[in-house]
Amino acid sequence: MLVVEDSPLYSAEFFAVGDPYAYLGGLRENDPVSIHRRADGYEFHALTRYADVYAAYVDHARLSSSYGTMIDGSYRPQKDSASGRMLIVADQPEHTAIKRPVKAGGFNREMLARTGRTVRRNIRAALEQLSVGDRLDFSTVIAPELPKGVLEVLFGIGREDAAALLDATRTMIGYRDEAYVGASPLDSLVDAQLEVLGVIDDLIEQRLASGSAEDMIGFLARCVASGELTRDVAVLNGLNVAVGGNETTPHTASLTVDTISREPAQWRKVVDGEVSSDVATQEFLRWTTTNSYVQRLAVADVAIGGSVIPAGSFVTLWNMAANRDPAVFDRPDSFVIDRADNKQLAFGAGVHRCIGAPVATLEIQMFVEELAAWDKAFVVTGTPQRLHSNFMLGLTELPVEVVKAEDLGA
Amino acid sequence: MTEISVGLIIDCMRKVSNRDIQADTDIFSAGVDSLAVLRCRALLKAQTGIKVPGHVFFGGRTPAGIADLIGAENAGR
Ligand code: HEM
Repeated sequence: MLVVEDSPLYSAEFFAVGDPYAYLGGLRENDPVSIHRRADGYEFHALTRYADVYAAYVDHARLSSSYGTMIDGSYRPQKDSASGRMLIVADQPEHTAIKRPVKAGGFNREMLARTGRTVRRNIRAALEQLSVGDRLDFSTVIAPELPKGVLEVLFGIGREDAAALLDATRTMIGYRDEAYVGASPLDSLVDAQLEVLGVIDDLIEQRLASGSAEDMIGFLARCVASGELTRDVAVLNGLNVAVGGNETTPHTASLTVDTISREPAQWRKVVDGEVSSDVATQEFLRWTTTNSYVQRLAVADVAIGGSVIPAGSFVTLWNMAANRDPAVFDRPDSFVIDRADNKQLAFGAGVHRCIGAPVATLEIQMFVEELAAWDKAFVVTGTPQRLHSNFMLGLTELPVEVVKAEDLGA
Repeated sequence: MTEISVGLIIDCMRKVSNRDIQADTDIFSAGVDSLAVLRCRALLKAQTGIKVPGHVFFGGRTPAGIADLIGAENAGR
């Protein structure tokens, strides 16, 4: 099996300025299961084929989430205090027990409908403020509008509080990228994490007092009152949803705008109604694959892709490589806006499959619809800056100019 | 300004963690997590009106270290 010393897959810089898709494509073709080491001794197995990534997702009994789903999530194969108490780092049976109330309170049909209305209103308002000739950074000015509506509805807070919460989760997650935190990354990380926990804890306190269960927080508070969840578990999962919701779709939206600017002829098919917004949305999700990989720990030997991964190994499931696998997608390295039968894996699979997937899909679809209906368009005017992260694929800067819709690609 | 003493930090930490914390106990090695820090901070704020930043807990690590850092941050102001 290929062993890569000092692998570029650890390097945030490589993901910001290198070509990780090409590197992972080479692995998928020649070494679909490989080992990646770092100077300090950390190592993981990397899965790059669609079939292997999928098989790993559904083998949740042998591939545990409770040791952290990010490289360095915990340095040694060691659980931390959130293990088993927060969805993303919980295995069975705790995972099921937490998922039920979170899903019932936050991700039911009615919440989805309310979220959709709020998100569309926010996107429309943001676009309406812009005039032809305006120059702005899409990634900081418009992109955060997408998750704001979700926070407003799920957390029952106003737009300003939603914006503050968004800032804090951004600092928490983007702590390795100077664009978000500046000089003292670790200080700002822990301050931000405590702030987010504090905001959610206060909201739960308020809902416990009022008894209102109009939003997800209220529903979780009711579960605390009835003894189904402890207050700590409710707070930790509020945090999980806030982070999962905030730190993903803005990046998807930024990369979507960049793609549209590069592919004006394909985009015109959406504007002209030849391609439906839901089909286009699936391709934007595949093409952008905002969450590049997730990590597991093998708690038993696992046979996968013709190799046996020994118990005790970290395993990484590369969504971004799976989503460009020629075994599953025709012309995988091309953006094809009307791609049929799109089995994109951007949300993962199995029991941990993104609980926010319907919300995220709705956000992107509404964004696509509002852009298509807009009498203007964004043209990228400078070099987009990619996020310094091997975990999230996004942009920290996307300079755009607002032009008349008919001038896009003209 | 109200002082935050080592003793007060120990009291609050014991309350929120149910562990035997001393002045030189590394609270994180003792199993105190972010949520316990959150509750401890709320207790300190209720008693002194001071909101201690999160990085002071993570930087100080022991009640004595935390008290020192609070002193240093105030002196630098
Ligand atoms: C394009 C946007 C998004 C992408 C690409 C994405 C991707 C993912 C992936 C790959 C996972 C699986 C993690 C694993 O298996 O370890 C996941 C889990 C999760 N996501 Fe998302 N996500 C997105 C948007 C959202 C939104 C909008 C929310 C909330 C409103 C959200 C909340 C969560 C939560 C709570 C989990 C943990 C689920 C569990 O472990 O059971 N995500 N997401």
